[in-house]
Amino acid sequence: MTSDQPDAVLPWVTALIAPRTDEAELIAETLLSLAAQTCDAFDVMIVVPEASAEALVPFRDLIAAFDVGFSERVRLTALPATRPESPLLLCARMSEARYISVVRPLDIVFGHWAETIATNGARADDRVLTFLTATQVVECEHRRGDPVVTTVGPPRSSEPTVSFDLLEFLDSPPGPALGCALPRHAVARALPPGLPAGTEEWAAQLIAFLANGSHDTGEVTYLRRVKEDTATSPHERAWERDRTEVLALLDHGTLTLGSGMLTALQSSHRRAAGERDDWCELEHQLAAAREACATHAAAEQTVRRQMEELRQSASWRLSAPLRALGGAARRLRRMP
Amino acid sequence: MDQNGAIPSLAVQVVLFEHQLRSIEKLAASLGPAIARVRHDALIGEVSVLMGDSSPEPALTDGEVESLRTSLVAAGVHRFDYFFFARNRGSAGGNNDLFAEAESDLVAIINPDCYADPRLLAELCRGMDDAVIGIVEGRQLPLEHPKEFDRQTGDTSWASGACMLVRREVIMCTGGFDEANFFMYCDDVDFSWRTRLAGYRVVYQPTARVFHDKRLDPQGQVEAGEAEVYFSAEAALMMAWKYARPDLVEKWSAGLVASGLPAHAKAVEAFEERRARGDLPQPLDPEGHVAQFVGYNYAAHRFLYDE
Repeated sequence: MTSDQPDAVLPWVTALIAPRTDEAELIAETLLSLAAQTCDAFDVMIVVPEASAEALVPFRDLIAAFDVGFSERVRLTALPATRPESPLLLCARMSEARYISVVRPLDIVFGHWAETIATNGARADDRVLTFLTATQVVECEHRRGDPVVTTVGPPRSSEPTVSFDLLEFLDSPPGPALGCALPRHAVARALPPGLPAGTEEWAAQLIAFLANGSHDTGEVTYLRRVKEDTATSPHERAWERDRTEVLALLDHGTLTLGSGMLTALQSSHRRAAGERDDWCELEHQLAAAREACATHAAAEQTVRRQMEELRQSASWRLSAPLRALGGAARRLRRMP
Repeated sequence: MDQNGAIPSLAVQVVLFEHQLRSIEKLAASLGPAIARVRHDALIGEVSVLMGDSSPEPALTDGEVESLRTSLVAAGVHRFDYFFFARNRGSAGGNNDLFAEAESDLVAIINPDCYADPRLLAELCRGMDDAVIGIVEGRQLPLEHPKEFDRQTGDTSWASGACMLVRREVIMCTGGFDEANFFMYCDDVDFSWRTRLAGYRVVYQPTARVFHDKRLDPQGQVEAGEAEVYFSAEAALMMAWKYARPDLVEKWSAGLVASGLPAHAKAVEAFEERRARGDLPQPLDPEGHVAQFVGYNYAAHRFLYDE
């Protein structure tokens, strides 16, 4: 960690995982990636919707297998079907961290995920933190009863965000609530009552962005893994449905945005577009400079090789005594 | 158990180079549950952990060594030793020095920037289920190595030194890593190929998970430091030479020079100096029984990270 990072014991971010009851094995690698973080400023909340105490056993075993330093920072909770609360809102109520970041089962975070959130969170004034996600196609199979995940394609990073564009993000997010860390207080206090659970989460995300603004970390810290045979997981399908619903709520005026939010949104969109144009121009200049460097390096190597060939040649060796004689004559002439 | 029914012993070895105490402690903490698990499953008897330090100054104080020893012993480790090499031995030389200290039947090599899954060691040992398997490789996260492997048998061209389990007989018959020719890249490819030339199999065990702290830049490319650029270029030329592909030496040299990167030009220069001195190894495997050059890789890949 660098010196401007905050005290490592503060839980800057809670990683929220909300698996289905049959997804314990899917979060094994998710947990491994969290346990391996380079900074301890985070905790983990696993909220399993509609789970009985018995259904939590495989999750509990999984957590207990890790070293105590990590397993003690993981909280496992069931969300009974009768409780009309989303995992995100439950997490906002129970967590003590400044931020909440959703981590989907099967997905993994890079080693500096928590460090990036802690470092940027310290200077973000409760703005929503955004980071880049890479998407990778995987295949899942069982071997001797053990789940095996194998990657079948390279990770594809979302477009480098020169400047984060909220409109674009909301239009095509890398996944439901993925690629961002939401300020916990904004999530907890901003929601109108009575929204359905899934819709609540989209609305919380939208309102947190609009009310607090965003801060782009510019780091790839999240690896979204997609099964080869399914473009979207059940989680994603549910979230997409909920996202459409929340947009309908906005259209019908059921969900109202605060004054100035829309103007702020439009102005940030214009700024982001301008910065992206500048970035493209600089990228062209960089490519041209690299090409020129490569040409010069190749020319230098050719000249060096020719000099070496000359040095190795018979005529060069035969004329060596003459050159030595010439050098001696020059030295003699310089003598007083 | 080995073929005689005896429970084998295991040494876990780690070569350090200017690593922070935190990352060393983190790795040690992750090894605790992994060791407890492999012993609980009766796959391994005695376990030792050996750390060798190539840093200019010791990465650990006496007190820190003692603290690590205490926590590892509590996790079931029988022996913990820390060796300060007082010079940079590279990964090849460092691992060879630790091989000499290990007295176990099996040796697990793990990079210091790794974090072991609780089942890592047990799964690596389960992969060593045939006397002709010489090396078992773990699966790295978040960026899994894309080289191809046989989905049924796990057989693969080579095993990454970031996380591998090696049979002692393999170390004895190959002489370990070729530290004279590989400092820190491709030492594992060369070791794997010589292991296969000696008649052993190299297999990939996808259930043996290890988190290896690799990152992507904003364009989605794997981040590589200056040392990696230099040493991997130098090692590539050596691999092509050592495995009887002079055509690739010439082709890659030209490509490296044309890249315009100073580190690449320096690597070509260093290789040519060795060639001029007659200081290159005798080529192996001229008929290409194990050596596999596919593009710039040493195996067929399922995909390329820099596509």
